[in-house]
Order: sequence, then C-alpha cells, then structure tokens
Amino acid sequence: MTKSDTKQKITLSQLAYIFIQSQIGVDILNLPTVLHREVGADGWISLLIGGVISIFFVLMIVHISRCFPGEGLFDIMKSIFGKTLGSVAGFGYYVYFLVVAIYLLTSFGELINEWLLPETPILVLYALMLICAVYTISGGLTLIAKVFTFFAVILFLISVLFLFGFVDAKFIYMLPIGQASFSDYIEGIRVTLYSLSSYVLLLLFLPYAQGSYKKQTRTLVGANLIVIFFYLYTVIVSFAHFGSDQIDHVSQPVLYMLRTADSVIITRIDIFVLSLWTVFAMTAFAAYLYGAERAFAKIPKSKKKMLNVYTAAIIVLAVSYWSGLNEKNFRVIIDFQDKITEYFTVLIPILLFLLSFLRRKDKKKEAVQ
Amino acid sequence: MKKLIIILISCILLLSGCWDTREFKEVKLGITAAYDMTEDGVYKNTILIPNVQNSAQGPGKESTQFLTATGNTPSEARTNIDRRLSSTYSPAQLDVLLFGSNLAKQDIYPYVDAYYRDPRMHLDVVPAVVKGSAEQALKVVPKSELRPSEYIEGILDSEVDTTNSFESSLQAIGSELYEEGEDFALPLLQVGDGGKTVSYDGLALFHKSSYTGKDIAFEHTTLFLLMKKQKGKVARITAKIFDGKNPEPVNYTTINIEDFSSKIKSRPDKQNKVRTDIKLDLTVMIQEYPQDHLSLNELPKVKKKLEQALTDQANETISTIQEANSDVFGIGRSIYGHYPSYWKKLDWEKDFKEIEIVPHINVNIRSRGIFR
Repeated sequence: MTKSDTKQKITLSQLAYIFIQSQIGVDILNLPTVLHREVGADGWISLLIGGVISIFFVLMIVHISRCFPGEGLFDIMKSIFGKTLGSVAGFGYYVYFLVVAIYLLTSFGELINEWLLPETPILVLYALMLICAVYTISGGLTLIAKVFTFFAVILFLISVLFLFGFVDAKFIYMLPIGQASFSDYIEGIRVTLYSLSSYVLLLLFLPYAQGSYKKQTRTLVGANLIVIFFYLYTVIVSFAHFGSDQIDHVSQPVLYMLRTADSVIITRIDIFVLSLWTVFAMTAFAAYLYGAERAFAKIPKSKKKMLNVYTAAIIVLAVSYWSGLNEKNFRVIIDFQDKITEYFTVLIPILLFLLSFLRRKDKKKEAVQ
Repeated sequence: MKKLIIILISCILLLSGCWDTREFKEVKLGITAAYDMTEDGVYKNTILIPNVQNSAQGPGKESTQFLTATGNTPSEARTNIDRRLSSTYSPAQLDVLLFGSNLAKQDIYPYVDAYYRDPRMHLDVVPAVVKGSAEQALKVVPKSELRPSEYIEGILDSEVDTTNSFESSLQAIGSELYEEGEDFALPLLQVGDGGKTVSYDGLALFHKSSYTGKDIAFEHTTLFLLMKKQKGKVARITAKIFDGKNPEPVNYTTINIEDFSSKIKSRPDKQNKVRTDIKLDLTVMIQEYPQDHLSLNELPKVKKKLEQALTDQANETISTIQEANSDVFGIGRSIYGHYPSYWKKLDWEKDFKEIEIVPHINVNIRSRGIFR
C-alpha cells in the first residue's frame, strides 16, 4: 500500500461523476454544428463510432492504472519512460492541461459575453469562473469528488429541457444516411474523440478510487456510455430541429433551438440552460486545472499545494485574457490545442498502454510476495 | 472576525452592481412592427408601442403610439425611431412582424437577419404578410377592442385555433428558409371595410425567402393544413356537394373534422419525375346540411360527394402551390432524404412544377347531429 492510497479515497460513484463532469464541458454546446460541418447529416454515426473508440481508451486507461497500483499519471510516466523522459512528458501534460483550461475559460467567457452579459467586462467573467474552480480544487480530491457529484443532477435537468427542441423537429432532416465520404467520417470521429478526451484525467483519479479493477471498469464504461448517449441525444435533437442548411449557420444549436421554447415558469429557456451549463463549464475547467496543478507539483519538487494552484490560475487567466481579445488570438489557441491534443490523448495513452505490459509493477509485487 | 470583515468588504465590492442591468422603465417595447418597401425602393419601418395609463379602477386604458422611420437596414430604421422617443426603443418583445407585399416579394431574409443574430431578440415573433401596405394594416385600431395593440395578434391566434392558419414563428420558418427542397407559407392579412378592419385572407406562399404573390385562398386553408398534419382546436370545411339546386345554400354542407390522419409519400416516377401521394383520412361530423332529410340511406352518397368535393379542393390548392413553385410539403427534401442519388439528377427549381401530386381523401362520417 502506498501512502496516497490511505490518504484520500473516492467512492466508485464519485469516480463516475468526476468522469462525467470532466467530459461534458464546452463542446456540448457546439458539437452538433462541428459534427455537421464535417460529416453532414451522418454526424451522429461518426459520433457513435467515436464513442465506441473512446470506450476502448477508457479500458486502456484502467488497465494502465492497474499495472501501476497507487501511481498517478506522472509517476506512471516516470516508471515507464524513465526519469528524464518521464519528466519531459509530465511537463508536456502540464502544458496540455493548461491549454485545455485556457480554451475552456475563453470559450466560456465568449459565450456568456455573447448570450448573457454583453456589457460585463470579460475579465470579470473569467475571474468569477476562476474563483469557483480554484476554490473547488483547493479543497483536495474529496471535495472535488463531492462537488462534482452534487452538480450531476444538472445533467438530468438539462436533458429534460432539451426535449423542447423536439417541438419543431422534423426527422426527415436526419436523412439521407451515408452521404459523407470516408475521410469525412474520420474527421468526425476525430472531433468526437477529442470531445470525449478527458479520459486522460482518469489516471489522476484512479489511484485514489475504491473498488476492484472490475468494478472500476464497469463504472467508468457506464459513465462514458452516459456521456456518449447524452451527446447523441443532443446531436439528434439539433439535427432534427435545424435541418441540414441552417445548422451550419448556428454556432450554439443547443441554446439556439431553445430560444422559442416557451414554458409557463421560464420565458427564455435558452438563458436558463446557459446558466445551468456554466456549472458544466466550471467542473470541466476545474478538472483540467486540477490536472495542471498535479502536473506542476511533480515537475521539479513538491511544493506548497496552493502555490501550484495559484500559478496555474494566473497563467490561465493571463493567456485567456490575451486570447479573448479577438477571434484571431483565440484561433491560435484552438489550433495549438488541436495540434497537441492528438499526442496527449491518443498517442501517449496508446504508448503507455503498450509499454505497461513490459514494465508493469503489480505482477512483480505478487511475485515477491 | 478579521476574515468575516474581509468577506463582507469583498461582498460589498462584488455584489453591489451589475453591468448588464436593463431596466424596464428605460425601454419602450414595440409589440407589432410593420416592414414596408415604398415605391422608390426605400425600406420603411413602422412600429406600434402601447402605453398603458394607470387608472383608479379596472384595467388601465391603453393608448397606442405609432412611429414610422426609413433607413437602409432595420437597425438603422430602429435608430431613427429611437431619436423621437424619450426612452430607448426595444423590439425584444415583438409579437407580430408584418411584411408589406412589396417587400415580401423581394426577399424577407435581410430584414429578419437581426432577429436570428442578436441573442436578445425573441424569436417567437409571428411573421405575416399584408396585401398592400403593412403600415396601413398596423394603423387599424378598432374602437371596440380593449387592447388595440393586440388586435392583429388576436386575429392570427384565433385563426390558428380554427385551423385556418398555423403557429408560425421566425424560429419555425428558420429551417425552411435555409433548406433546399422545402418552402414555407405565412399568414396573409388584408385591410378591409375601407380601412376599418384587418381580415385574415389565407396563406401566402413563399419560395426560398420571397413571397411568390400566390396564395392559398381562405376557403382552402383548412384542408391544406390538415394535409400538412396541422390541426387547431376545431377544423371546419364547407364543401359544395350538389349542383343546381335551389336555393343556393342547399348545395353546400359544412363538416366538422373530429379526427384526421395524413400521410405524404413521394417516390421517383418515370413519367412525371416524382409522384407524391397525399393520403388524408378524415373522421367528420355533419354540422350543417341545409337540404335536410339526411337519412341513413343517404349517407354513402353524401360521403362520395363529399370526398369528390374535397379532392377537387385539394387539387385546386395543389395546382396553386405548383404554380407558385413553393414546395410547402417539403417534397424535395423528402426525395433527397430517401433517394439521394435520384435527387442529384433533378432540377427542383423547374421540376417541382411538373411533378404529380395526387390527393386521396377518405371521409368517414361518424355523426350527423341530433336532428334527423
């Protein structure tokens, strides 16, 4: 038993909620449009295929974690790649997590600015979000787990509100099937996989999770399925609502389709959903900020924890402010993220998975005992 | 204690203000707007702003204010309206948007773009076309109405209940506006009685985003909407089932549609490129049969005559639609959905006029009232 194992524990259900909350971030609002631009009306098929692939990644991650009991992402990388290479990869992840956090924060700011609070200085929006996230992760793993679990109810609330999108839906818009080319499908699958890519973060949480390997696998695959079906549901509602030409003009179809939905209690459901969604944005943001904090802690030596959090927060805030200035800057961030995402969410996990067969520690221990 | 003070001070700093307050007293909300194109091609915007005066007893009396301004874009016209108001004009709560037929015939999209683009705008606006000048229709304020500002909205709403019009909104026509192989129709209004009333006049057929100038006549709207699978609270159709009997009303009957089902199926066809079958089953109650003596033996004959009359009505509507080149049934989209490779061979712009649309109407008379 390593030290960290005894220190903090998260239950299986908490693990599932952490996974769900870190998966559903900003992408949910514009995923239908992005998929439609790439694959056309077949977007939902490539979403399904991408979802199945992401399940394999989750299985791989759980396997890696099993091979190195009690070790987090950065320790595992040191064990596999050796000390120097492991540290370099660790720093790479630090950058990656920061970039994702910056992307999440900037998109959040932009959305709220466009939809809800056009007059409020964007820096204030960033600051509010940062305060929430920093406060959440300052409490440590157990607090993160509890907060994420607490907010999970919003997923169900939002799912119900999305039903309003079916009011004007026409399912003929889902047809014809099979018009996209093979390369379009690949592109769609890539987009899907990136939007489900927070399985990388699992390596940070898995060492502290309770339950056997089998139970963990089952929980995480289940959680991933929930997210995939939620995405599928969202994509189908938006496709059926907007039709094949209008959806390309609408950048946040999910909010847009709720603009006319009138209910007795809430007049503007889109605004209400947007407010609920900020919670998703916050939890995903907090998860990546936590990842960055963990990574930073491991680079040279262990330091005071809050110092790491503040450094990460300040870097994120500064870069987000720069990228929020105009669309060109934001594109730079997105392009950079696109470039590195492939390495950190696809290549490195696969490499770790393959090498974990050679360097696994669990079998060795058993042999010693 | 120190901590508490810090928290309190930061609360005062953080929670005391808001950048995005928009107070109700500072804006004037337009309820109905009319967009017109003058003869010189200048865009003209007229709005109706209701002002409710407080009164000691009962509901406040409402006075209406009309403002007209011209401009190159709707936003510019709005700014020009704003110059004459003590507070800011906001179209965020607009209920009805009227297009003059001159403007609608050109292209409505440029004028509604702002509604789609600005998240503050309410997309629930009901668009409608006015034959002639929309401004004139807007300015009709019947004295008998308690709330003159809701006059036109009321007309449109009540026609939805009687299945003469359907619940349209800018959002609802949004997908049809963009989609190829699918068009839409909007309610059509006309100023009548020498400018004293506004009447509902049928449905204006659109192709892409412009008004074709052709309409579905008021008498045919109910059947048309039933074929489109839309029914309000009640649906009544009057049909001519006999010829040459005296007096004239005897030739007619009015039916009340209690239940209906409609299926539209399109498939490629060698002769006419596309063949569409509209299968409409109606369960009806005879509401008015001026001829009297509606015995049980008579019913099969009445049913036949009724089916014939309704099919004639439907055919008339269909030929209007094809003449207007307005694919309101979304036949093109359905062909594209089910036969994508065949769709590529079609030139829908031209082919729609030539396709074959066949209505199959089946009437089931469930009741003939309590008077035999």
